[in-house]
Amino acid sequence: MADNFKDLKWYSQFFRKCSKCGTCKSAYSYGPPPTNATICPQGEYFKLDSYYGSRAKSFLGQAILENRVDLTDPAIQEDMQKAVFSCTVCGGCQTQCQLDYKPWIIDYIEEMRHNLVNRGIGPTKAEKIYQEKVIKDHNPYGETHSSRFNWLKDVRNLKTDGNTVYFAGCTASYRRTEIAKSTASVLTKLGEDWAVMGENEYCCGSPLLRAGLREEPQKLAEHNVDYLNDHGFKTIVTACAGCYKVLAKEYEKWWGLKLKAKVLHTSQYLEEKMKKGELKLSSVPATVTYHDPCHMGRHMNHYEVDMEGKKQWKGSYIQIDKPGLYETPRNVLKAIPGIQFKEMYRNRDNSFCCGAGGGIKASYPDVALETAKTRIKEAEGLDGVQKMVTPCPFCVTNLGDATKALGSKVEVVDLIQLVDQALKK
Amino acid sequence: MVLSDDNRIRQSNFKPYLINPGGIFLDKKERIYKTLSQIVGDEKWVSNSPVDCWAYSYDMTYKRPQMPNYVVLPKTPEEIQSILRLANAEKIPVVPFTAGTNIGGLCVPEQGGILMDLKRMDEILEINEEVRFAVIEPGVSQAQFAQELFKRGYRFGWPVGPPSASVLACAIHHGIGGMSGRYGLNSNHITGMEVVRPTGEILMCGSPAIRRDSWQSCMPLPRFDGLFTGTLGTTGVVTKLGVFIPPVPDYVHIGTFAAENLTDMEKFMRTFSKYEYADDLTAISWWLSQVPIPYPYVEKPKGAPEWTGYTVLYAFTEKELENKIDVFNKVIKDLGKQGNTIKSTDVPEESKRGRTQLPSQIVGSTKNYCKMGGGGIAWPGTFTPSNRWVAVYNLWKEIYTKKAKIPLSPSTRVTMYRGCHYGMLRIMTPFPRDRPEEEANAAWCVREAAKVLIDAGGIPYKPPTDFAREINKRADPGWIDLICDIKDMLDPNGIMNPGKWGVR
Ligand SMILES: Cc1cc2nc3c(=O)[nH]c(=O)nc-3n(C[C@H](O)[C@H](O)[C@H](O)COP(=O)(O)OP(=O)(O)OC[C@H]3O[C@@H](n4cnc5c(N)ncnc54)[C@H](O)[C@@H]3O)c2cc1C
Ligand code: SF4
Ligand code: SF4
Repeated sequence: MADNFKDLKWYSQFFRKCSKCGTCKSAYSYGPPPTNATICPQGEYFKLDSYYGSRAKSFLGQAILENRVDLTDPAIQEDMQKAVFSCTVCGGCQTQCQLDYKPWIIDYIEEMRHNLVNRGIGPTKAEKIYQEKVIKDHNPYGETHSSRFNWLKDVRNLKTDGNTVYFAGCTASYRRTEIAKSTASVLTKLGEDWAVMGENEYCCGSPLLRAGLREEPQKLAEHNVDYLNDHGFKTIVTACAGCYKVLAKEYEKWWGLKLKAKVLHTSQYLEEKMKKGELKLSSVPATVTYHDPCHMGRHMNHYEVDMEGKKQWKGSYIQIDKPGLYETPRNVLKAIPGIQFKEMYRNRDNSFCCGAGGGIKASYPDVALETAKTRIKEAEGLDGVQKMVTPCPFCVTNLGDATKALGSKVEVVDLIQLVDQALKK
Repeated sequence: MVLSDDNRIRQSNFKPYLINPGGIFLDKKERIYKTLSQIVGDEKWVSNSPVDCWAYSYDMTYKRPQMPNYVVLPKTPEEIQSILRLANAEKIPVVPFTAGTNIGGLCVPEQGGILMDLKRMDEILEINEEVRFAVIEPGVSQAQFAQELFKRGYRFGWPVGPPSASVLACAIHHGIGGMSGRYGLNSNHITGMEVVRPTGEILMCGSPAIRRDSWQSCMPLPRFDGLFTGTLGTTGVVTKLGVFIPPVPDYVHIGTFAAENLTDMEKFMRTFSKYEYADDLTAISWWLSQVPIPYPYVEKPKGAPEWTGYTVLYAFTEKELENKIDVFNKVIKDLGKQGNTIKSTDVPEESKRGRTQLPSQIVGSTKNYCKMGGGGIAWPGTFTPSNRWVAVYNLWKEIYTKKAKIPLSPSTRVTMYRGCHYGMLRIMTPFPRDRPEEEANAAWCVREAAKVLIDAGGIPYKPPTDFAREINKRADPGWIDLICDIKDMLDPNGIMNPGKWGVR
C-alpha cells in the first residue's frame, strides 16, 4: 500500500545532527526573568539519559540502525521497547531543540517504533490488546461498535446527513460521553445542521499510529475519508485533540487522503461563531487555567524546512511558519463572562504533557499518572484555580485520574462543557 | 555482612550494603548490579542494560563511543560513599557525570565501569544573600540556578554553554562565564566544597570544614579544594559546592567594536583590560560572528572586518557607568590616533542584549556553532597569554584553511580574564557526525591546533585525553611526579575516571 512514511535510515540524516547538547531536557528561557521547568515526562520519570528528551531518541535510533546493541537478545529487546515506547511523544523536547533535527522529532520517534514493530519488538502488550480491539470493533476500549452512538440516544435521534458532521472519536463516544453530549448540545443550540457518521465512524487511527503501526490505521483512514467525502459534508467538527491532528493533518500527510470538508476542532468552530457574533455566552463564574493538549498545540506547529538548500543548506530548519492551536481555545475560554483566567507556568509550546499520549496510558500507567499529577499540582499552585480546562477527552481522562489520586480540589473539565454551560443560560 | 575489610575507611556514615546480596551464585555483573540497586534503594536508579549504557557512550565531540557497564543515579553523598567503596572492592572504574556537555569526551568511560549520573542530586541547598554565597548540589543546572538567583537579584558567571549543564561541574573545571573579566573564572568563586574521596571518605574543604554552615571562603585554610578542581572527575566526587554570588548591578552598557586584524584587537583588549572595568571583554573572528559558523570554510567578504568584539560594562551607579563608557571610548580614540584600526561599531540593540542574556538556549544549544556543520563540535579551548594570540591564530588559520583536507572556518574567540593579560583563545570546530571522513578532518585540525597552541605557551582547559597527552609530553617531570603521587594517594586503585589525566 502506498504511503509517505520514511524509514529510519532516511531520518538518520536528521537525528545524526543532534549535538547531544541536552537543551531538550528542560524548558528554559532567558526571559527576563529566566524561567526553567521540566518538560520531558519520560525523562522526569526514569531520569536515565536513555530516556531524556529527543537527545535520548537520537542515541536509540543510532543504536538500532547501526546494531550498536544486540536486538536479538530478549532482555535487550525488552529494554529497547521500554525506552522507545514509554515516551508520551508529546513534543516538549522538540520545542527546545534548535538544530536541523527539530522538525522531524515526532515523526522520527514514531518511525523508530515502527521499526521495532517490524522486528517484533513492539508494540507493547497493552498496545497489542487495544490494536486487536480497534481492528475488531473500531475502538480501543473493547466496546461493541454498535454501541458507539449510545450516548446520542439521550440527546436526539441519529441523523447522518447535514452540513456539518461531528466526528466524536472513541474516547468521547465510550468513556467521556459528557463531552460528546456537550458538543451535541452546543451544535444544536447554535442552530447547526449537524450529523454524525453513525456506524460508519471508525476510530480515527491515532492510537495505532502512535504505536508505530501503519497498515491498520491506513484502513481506518481510507474508510473514514471515503465516507466523509461521499456524504457531502461541508465541515467536520471534532472535540478531540487526537482526532483533530489525524483528520486535519495526518490522513493527507501519510496517505495523501484529502478530505473535501473543512476540518475544525470545536474551539476553532466556536471562535468562528464568536467572530460572527453568533456566540452569545452567559456568565460562568470560575477561576480557571488552561491545559494545552500536545496534539492540538505543538503537534500542529508547521515547520519550514529548506529541503533543497535554496535559502540555507539542504535539510536546514528555518522556522515555525504556522503555530499550533494555542490562542484559539484560549480566546473562546476567555470570552465566557465570569471566567477568571490564570495561565500555568508551562504553557503553549512549553506546555507539560498530560501524560496520556503515545500509548502510555495503556502501556505505562504509572508514568501517565505521575505525569498528570505533576500537571495538576502546577494548577494547584495558582492561587484560587478551581478548574483546569482542556479541549481533549483523553487529557480530561488522565488529568481527572490524577485529581482523584491526589484528592485535588481542581476539577478537570473540557472546554466544550464550559461553553455548553455558558450557552444554556 | 557489612563491608569493612578496607582499613582506609575511617568513617561510618556511608550507607552499609551487603557484599553479595544475591548469594554466592551471582556472577560479577549481576552481583554489582544488585549491590548498586541496594545502595540506591531501587532498581529504577541502576542499569546495566546496553540500551541505557549506550546513551552515555559518546558526546558531541569526535571521541569514539565507549560504553560503561553500569549506570547508577545516587541521591545522597552517603550513597556515593558506598558506590565508591564497592568500586574499590571490585576494582571497577567510576565516571562522574552531570550532563556530559564538556566538549572533551570527559565522561566517556575509557575503561567502562560505573557511570555515576548525578542529576538526581539537584538541590540548591542555600542562597545566602547576606554573605553572598550559594550552596548547590552537582545536578543543579545553569538554568535552574539562573532562575533562582535572578529572582533574588543575584548572578553568577554564566557560560555560553547548555542551560541543562551543571553549575558545579563547570565551576570545578575552571569554567568561564560572563563575569570572568571582573571576578575571574568560576573556580575563583568557589567558597567551599564537600567531597567524597575515591576511597569513600567524605570531607569538607574551606570554611565549612571548620563549621558546617559557614560557606564564606576557602581561605585562609590550605587550598585542599585544589585537589578536586580541574581534575576531570579523577580525584573524587564533589557533592556540594559553595559559590560566591554577586548582586546584579543596576546599570549596564554593551560596547561594541571592530578591528581589521587580531594584532590591533589584542592591543585594544590589553589596554582596556588594565582598568578592570569589563565583566566580559570578548572578540570573535568573522567566521564565528556568522550564525551559524560556515561549514566548510568560506572566504570572508572583502572589506568586512576580520575581528568584532563586545564588552559588557556593569555599574551600580550612573556615574560609575558613565566613567566606564568614557574610558572605553577614550581607549578606542587614543589607539585610533596611533594608527590602530580599532573602532566603535553600531549593532542592533537585540544582538547587544544577547551578550548579557545568559545562560542562553540559543547559544547553549550549539545552534550558533554546529547547526550548519551537522551536530558535531570540538575545540581546543585554552588559557593563553594575550601576546601569543596573534601568532597562534595565524598558525590556526594555516592549519584550518590551508593544510586541512577539507578547509574549515577559523572561527576563533578571544576573551580577557581578570588578573593579568591572558584569556581564552579557542577555535570552534563543527563537523557532520554522520560523515566519518569529515569528522576525521575536523579531529585532525583540532589536534594540530592544540599542539601549536601548547608549544606557544597556551594550555587547553577541560582537556580531552588527546590534549592531556600533548600537555604531559611537554610538562615539567616534577609536576607529573606530583600528579602521580597525589593520584596514588587519593585513588590507590585508580578507579576514578581512569585515563583522563593521561598519567594513570
Ligand atoms: C555550546 C557550548 C558552549 C560552552 N561554553 C562554555 C563556556 O562558555 N564556558 C565554560 O566553562 N564551558 C563551556 N562549555 C562546556 C560545558 O558546558 C561546561 O563545561 C559544563 O559546565 C559542563 O557541565 P556538564 O554538566 O555537562 O558536565 P559533564 O560533562 O557531565 O562533566 C564534566 C567533567 O566533570 C566531571 N564531574 C561531573 N560532576 C562531578 C562531580 N560532582 N565531582 C567531580 N567531577 C565531576 C566529569 O567526570 C567530567 O570530567 C560549553 C559547552 C557547549 C556545548
Ligand atoms: S535533540 Fe536537539 S536539543 Fe536535544 S540534545 Fe539533540 S540537538 Fe540538543
Ligand atoms: S516526546 Fe515528550 S516524553 Fe518523549 S522524549 Fe520528548 S519530551 Fe520526553
